[in-house]
Amino acid sequence: METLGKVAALPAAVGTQPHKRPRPRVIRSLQTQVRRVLFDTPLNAVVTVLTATAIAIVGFYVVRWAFLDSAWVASSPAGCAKAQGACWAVIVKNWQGILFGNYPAEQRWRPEVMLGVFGAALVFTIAVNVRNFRLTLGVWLVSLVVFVLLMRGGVFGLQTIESDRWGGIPITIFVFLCSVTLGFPLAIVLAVARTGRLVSARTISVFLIEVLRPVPLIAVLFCTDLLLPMALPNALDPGKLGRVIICMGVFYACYQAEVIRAGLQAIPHGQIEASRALGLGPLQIIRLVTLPQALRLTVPATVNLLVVALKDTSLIVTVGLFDFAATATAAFSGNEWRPFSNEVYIVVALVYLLMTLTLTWLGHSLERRLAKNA
Amino acid sequence: MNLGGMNRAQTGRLIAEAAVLIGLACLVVATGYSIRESLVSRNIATGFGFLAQDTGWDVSAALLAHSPRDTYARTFLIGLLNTLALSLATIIVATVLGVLIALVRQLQNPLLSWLIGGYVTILRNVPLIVQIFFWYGATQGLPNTRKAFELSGGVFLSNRGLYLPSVKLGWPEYAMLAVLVVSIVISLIWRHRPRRLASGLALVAVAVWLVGPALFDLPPLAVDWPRRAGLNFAGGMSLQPELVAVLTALVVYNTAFIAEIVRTGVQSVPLGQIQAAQNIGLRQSRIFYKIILPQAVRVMVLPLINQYSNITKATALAMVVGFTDLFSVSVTSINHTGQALEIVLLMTMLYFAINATISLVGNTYAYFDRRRWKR
Amino acid sequence: MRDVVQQPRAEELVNIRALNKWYGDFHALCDVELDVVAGETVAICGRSGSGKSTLIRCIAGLEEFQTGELVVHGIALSPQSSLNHRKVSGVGMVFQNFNLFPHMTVMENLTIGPVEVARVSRSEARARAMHQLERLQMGAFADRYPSTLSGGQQQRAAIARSLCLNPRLMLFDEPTSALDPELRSEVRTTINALARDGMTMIIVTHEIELARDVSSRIVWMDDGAVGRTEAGAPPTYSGNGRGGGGLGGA
Repeated sequence: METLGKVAALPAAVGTQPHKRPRPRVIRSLQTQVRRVLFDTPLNAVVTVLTATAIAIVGFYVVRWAFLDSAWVASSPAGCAKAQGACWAVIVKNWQGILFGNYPAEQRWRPEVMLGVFGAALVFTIAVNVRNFRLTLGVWLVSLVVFVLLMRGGVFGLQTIESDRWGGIPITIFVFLCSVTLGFPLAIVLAVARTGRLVSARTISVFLIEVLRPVPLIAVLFCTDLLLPMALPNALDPGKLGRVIICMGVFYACYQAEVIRAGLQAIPHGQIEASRALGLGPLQIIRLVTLPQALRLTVPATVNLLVVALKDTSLIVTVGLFDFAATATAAFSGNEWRPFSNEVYIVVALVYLLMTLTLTWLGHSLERRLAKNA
Repeated sequence: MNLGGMNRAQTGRLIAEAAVLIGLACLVVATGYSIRESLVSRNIATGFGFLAQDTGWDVSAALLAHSPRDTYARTFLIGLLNTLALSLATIIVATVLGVLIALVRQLQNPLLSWLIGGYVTILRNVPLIVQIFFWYGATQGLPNTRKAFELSGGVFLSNRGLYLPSVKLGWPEYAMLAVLVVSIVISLIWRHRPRRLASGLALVAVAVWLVGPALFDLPPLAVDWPRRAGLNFAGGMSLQPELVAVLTALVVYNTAFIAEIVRTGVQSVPLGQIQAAQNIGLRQSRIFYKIILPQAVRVMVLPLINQYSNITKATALAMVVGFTDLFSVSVTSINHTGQALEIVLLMTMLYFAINATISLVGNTYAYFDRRRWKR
Repeated sequence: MRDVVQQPRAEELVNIRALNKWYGDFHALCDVELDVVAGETVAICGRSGSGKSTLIRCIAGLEEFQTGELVVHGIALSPQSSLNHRKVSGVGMVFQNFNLFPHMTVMENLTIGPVEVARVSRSEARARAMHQLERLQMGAFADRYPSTLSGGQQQRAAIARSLCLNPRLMLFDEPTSALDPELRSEVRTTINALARDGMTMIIVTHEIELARDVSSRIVWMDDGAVGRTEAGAPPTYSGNGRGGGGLGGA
């Protein structure tokens, strides 16, 4: 038998009344705890040993490649070629291009400030813990306006820089925020239309959703970029960036609409009957009763979709916009840094990981707060 | 206001319907006019006549034989088949791996769970396109054909691709595969006697196929192994590095998602079921296979259909490293013919058909499964 | 961390000494002492929240406890052994909500244990299962799925499932409380008949009727502790048949 550590002394006798007492504090040594969870059966011990060995071996090679044998500073790829491990010099040398793309070098302060603005908005969101939803939304909308003014220029004596020279992280964040800002209200309209009683609106909603959902986003992006200029008079053409945002927004809306629809359908019919009995009209019922409940119900699914939308911004490279993944590719393509592409992609992956995990974490904290209020 | 005995709500709805329809009509007419204008001004042909014409360009790799003299119709077929093959391969491998991961998670070893959790979190949160670029970069870093890795007897990996032994399927193989498919379908739909008969049939088919060449006058399976020949390889079949990269990325990425779907399904099985099984004395692996998995599948079907549909869509990303699929064929065709509307329509319909098939199969399975037992 | 096999004391199937269990800081079982001898039928009664279900789940090896001794069918469960690896053999458990496997027919539910664990041939297992089903008047339902049966029938199928493994001890955790009142009597009759056949049983119930009817001893629990013990019905296996004839066979 196992040594149990120190156990509080048991009472001597049991009376007629149950002798209630606090749980004995069993102080298990670290060794005991490890043995209890990792080595309690032969099978578990074997699994532990195998897993630990695998982690150790892979970890050893990763650490050796990424840190011990890596080159951090090298003016040319030749300097890296000598090192056996990773060539981080490709990042160190090109980090401004990776972060900000082709934005004119002397104006780099503008995207830098922009990153600061987004960062401030994020810190604000975390600080208020999404408690004041309208204020948070307002802060993000303001940050979008600041983005356009600052990046494009042409006001306050700023030099005008057209959107085809924007690139990197700011554009990834901008496209994501814009497509969600555009897509979410549209998703609500589509979901309400699809569950509503207006036959024409329902048909349009079903058609749009069922046609767009089976098609890959990359294909939808390509088609929008190609067909929208044909379908719109030149004066109305929003430009490449605008087209991409419209496309991503509508595409996101189609998925988000299905999530909201599921939420709307999950609400018991009694809620609607009760609202009718209060004399509320159909639109009031949606706005005041069913939609708020549906949105609460669908927070987890919505957070998943937002992460998908954030990852999907990486596809805009296929229509020639320089998002973060594209500027990173540009850092080595067509020059002698090419053998070190994977160092760049690892950094890109880490940055995406940071962004998506932040988003997921924010979503979870919203979820927890809603659960507490419910 | 009272129009022919309708109440106010009905009148309001009628007006709203009319408004939506008129708005839609205006939009359609305006867009149609605008598109017609631009087609006329660019002097672009219309209609599907181009499908019968030769393309004049070739695709990079395909399941079917291909040449620049193929018609557009055949080229689209080639792209469609490549998309289907890539999707199917990803779906099968990722599903098997996802279920295996769920099985391993049943061991409840904290260290292993932590490792798997890390894998799933990282891979799910990095965009697929970045992962494809990464694996493509990795294939470029492989040694050249002369120094190719020999993974195991007859399988080579180099920066020119993966070299595998190829088999030439004769009629015995096709017959056996047909029997296998039929018996899998039977055992998915029915149970008890039909299922046992089907698995017996499958065993007999495999056995006959195995011993056939020795006992009867059946042609044996022709296996062609890749051999080093000069600077390159002869024989066998090779997968382009693009395909290897895309397939690896798709499998690794989707395994993470499917592992999560399976985990959710497994967690949906009530604890009481597991306790009852433990009380009967079943081993953990048998509990997973006999009690948990069949019940978890019920919960997993819909998310799995969804994920499979995502996989077929994700194969379009293969274009970024130059693999030929339905989307890349469409893009090239648009560039050559200019008939964007027709090709976009064709491509959309094909993707629609693929996804409709997946959800039809999934829903049919779900229907029979629900009919068999209820909770 | 192997559970130690001890020599069972004469005919004693369950020995509980100073058993204590806490949920967090809530003292759920308080110095519980209980011995069950072979052939006995013990009913554990008490208000809900008195710890009676917790106690029987500890005996079945489904719950951990913090201090005390618990020997079931010769196997000592220790506070240290982790839950996943406890093997209590020869003890059948009947749950409040049946826990039949919904994706298997009644027959498959009954044969999976003997086939997978006891390595009995399929036909032998089917014969054994059919025997148990007929004993409980369930023979007609062998090929039905659980969801098509009434609650009482499901619970009887669950009892038959446990019996197929020839347990020395049967544990019942509120076997009738998930049933409509008019369905309870069929389960009660079944348990009664088992008692008459000499099965050792521990029955947790708040249905005092069931307890009085079946048990040779009623143990009252209150606030996590064992209170008074009263004699129940006289030992029924001596042939004192009340409430209908015994079950055929066995």
